Amino acid sequence: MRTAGILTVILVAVAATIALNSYYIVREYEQVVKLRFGEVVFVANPAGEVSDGVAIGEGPGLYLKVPLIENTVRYDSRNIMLDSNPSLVTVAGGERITVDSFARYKITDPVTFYSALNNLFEANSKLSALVEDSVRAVLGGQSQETIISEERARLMVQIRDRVNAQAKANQFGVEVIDVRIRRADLPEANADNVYARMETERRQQAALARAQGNERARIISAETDRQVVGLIAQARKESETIKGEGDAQRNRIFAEAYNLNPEFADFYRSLQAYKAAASEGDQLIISPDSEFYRYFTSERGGR
Amino acid sequence: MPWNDNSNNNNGPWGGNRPGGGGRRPQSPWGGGNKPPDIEEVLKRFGGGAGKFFGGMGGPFLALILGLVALLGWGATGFVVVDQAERALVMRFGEYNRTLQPGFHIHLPFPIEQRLVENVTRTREIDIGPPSEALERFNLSTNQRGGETTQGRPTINEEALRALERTADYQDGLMLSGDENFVVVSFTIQYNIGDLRNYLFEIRDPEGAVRAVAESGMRELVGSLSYEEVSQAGRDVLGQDLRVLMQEVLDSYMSGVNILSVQLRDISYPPRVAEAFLDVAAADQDARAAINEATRYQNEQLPQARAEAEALLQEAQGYRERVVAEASGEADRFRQVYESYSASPDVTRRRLFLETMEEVLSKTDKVILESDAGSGVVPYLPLNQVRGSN
Repeated sequence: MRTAGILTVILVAVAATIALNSYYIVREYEQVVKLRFGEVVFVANPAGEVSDGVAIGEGPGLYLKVPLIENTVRYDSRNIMLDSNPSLVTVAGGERITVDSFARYKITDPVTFYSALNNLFEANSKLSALVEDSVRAVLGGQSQETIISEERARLMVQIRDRVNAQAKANQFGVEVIDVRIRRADLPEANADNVYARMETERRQQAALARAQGNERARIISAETDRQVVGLIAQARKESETIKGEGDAQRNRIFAEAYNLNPEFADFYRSLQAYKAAASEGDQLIISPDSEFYRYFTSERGGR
Repeated sequence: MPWNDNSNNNNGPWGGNRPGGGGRRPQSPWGGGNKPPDIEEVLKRFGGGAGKFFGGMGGPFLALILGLVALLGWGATGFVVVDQAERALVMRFGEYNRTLQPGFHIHLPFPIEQRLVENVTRTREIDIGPPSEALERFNLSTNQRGGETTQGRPTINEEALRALERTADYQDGLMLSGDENFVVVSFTIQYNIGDLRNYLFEIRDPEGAVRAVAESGMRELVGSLSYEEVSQAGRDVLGQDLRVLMQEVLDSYMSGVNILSVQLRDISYPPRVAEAFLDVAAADQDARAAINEATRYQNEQLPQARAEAEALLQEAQGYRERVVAEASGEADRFRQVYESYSASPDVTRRRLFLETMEEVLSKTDKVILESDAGSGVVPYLPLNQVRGSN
């Protein structure tokens, strides 16, 4: 009985193993290559066109295989990222820039992929080389501005097409969907130049602003000074005129008055003058013949 | 029955010796002393023990129970609770079968049916570029203060600057504008899942794709603008453009990603040239200050000058009035004197003359000399002065 029991268990185990190995499930995002003694005999759910001569199973699902004799290799059928190393590109003008790009590809023909590249690691490595090479080829010789500017999109398409052509030529079994320049960096020395230039431009701007400000300020000051001088001069001129009017008026008044009797005016004004002009301590030498001393030497006032 | 069997007291239900049973030697759970377990032995004991166990108990019934438990366990692989924000895709033998909405569902167990659950409405974020705090250290973030320039000039700590420049975040954010100026851009991508089938079945590593496309796209946009355009046209336009670009590219990948928004956190010049840039603002302020100073001078000088001018005029007018008034007064006095003189001229003339001379001569020192002593040397000896000095 015991032996029978063990036997049953062993039989069950073997049967189970065989059963589990007789099918494989291919999911929506997978494509599977079936090998018999190392040779590809069937493809399930391929992402693209498969090379002739191999049977194809459309779509995901449950597939059968002969256990132990046939085995499977699974590949991703999705859009996969390819991260390549930065390439050193020599641009027009002889400078070198570092271009970091990435690509997206799909395994479209898993049969050729199996023989050409076999796994994602290899694919990454080989395709990277292609991308780096194409980047150098397409961008080399372009001017720096072109690479950095709007032309970028067009150039990226060119790179993609070139990579695809080469991948096809090499029969990798992949299709490159997109190549994008992630970064185009200047090497150290150039970066320093850019910084220096940015600084210089700004400093010039600052200096200009200051100079213009000072100029404006000086103009305002000079204007002000000029106006001040003008105002004073004008005022002086007017005040002289006014004073002149005053003097003229004064002359007219006196003339009017004195013209009543010029001789008497002369007499009167002279007397005023003598009074005003005489000061304490003046020395006068007078002859007794003067009018004042008329009665000095004679009581009748004769000579 | 194992508990009826008295002949093998040292055996556990699985057969073999219990530790501490036989000798003092360490026992393996499979029994046997020091030798490694023998497969045949193991199977024999296992089979034997199990057989005894089942055989003794009412075996078919127990087998049924165990079978049902196993079946239930297997069936449970088909139970799923889909959260409000989630959706589940069910694949039957690997092929897409249906989408499950939120709620509790039962599907056929693995490997017949398999489900993939993913949160579709949650906003996922990717940050690219240095965080605002890192830039603020160098007084650079134009994020706050609505873009006003900051006062004062920073002294840049060279070490700190180099440390910042080495960080991956900073290098992610350092970009070249179309006119070959550096600009540091920090932005955040917000996205969720728009098409779950594409997201799960068409693209590998969708988050990586979003990040790569974001970086590449922003550089493309910045590279098509001049530095001035980038910093002024600013964040909204740039964010919009990038969102559109990213969606276009990601759709071409059939990624199923839905870009919700692109938010520009910072757009600024690199810290390395901060001094020069801030100097521009400072220069504007200096220029304004100079002009203000000149204007102040103007506002001070002109009123002063006007006041002075006014004073001059007033003074002149005052002079004029005074002079005219004095003259009028004197003229009137003369007229009145003349009137009174006209009445008796000779007498008045003589009297005026004498009065005046009296006043004049009494003030002055007089020397009275004969008139013919006027020619040649005047014979005059100042006795007063001679007497005074003795």
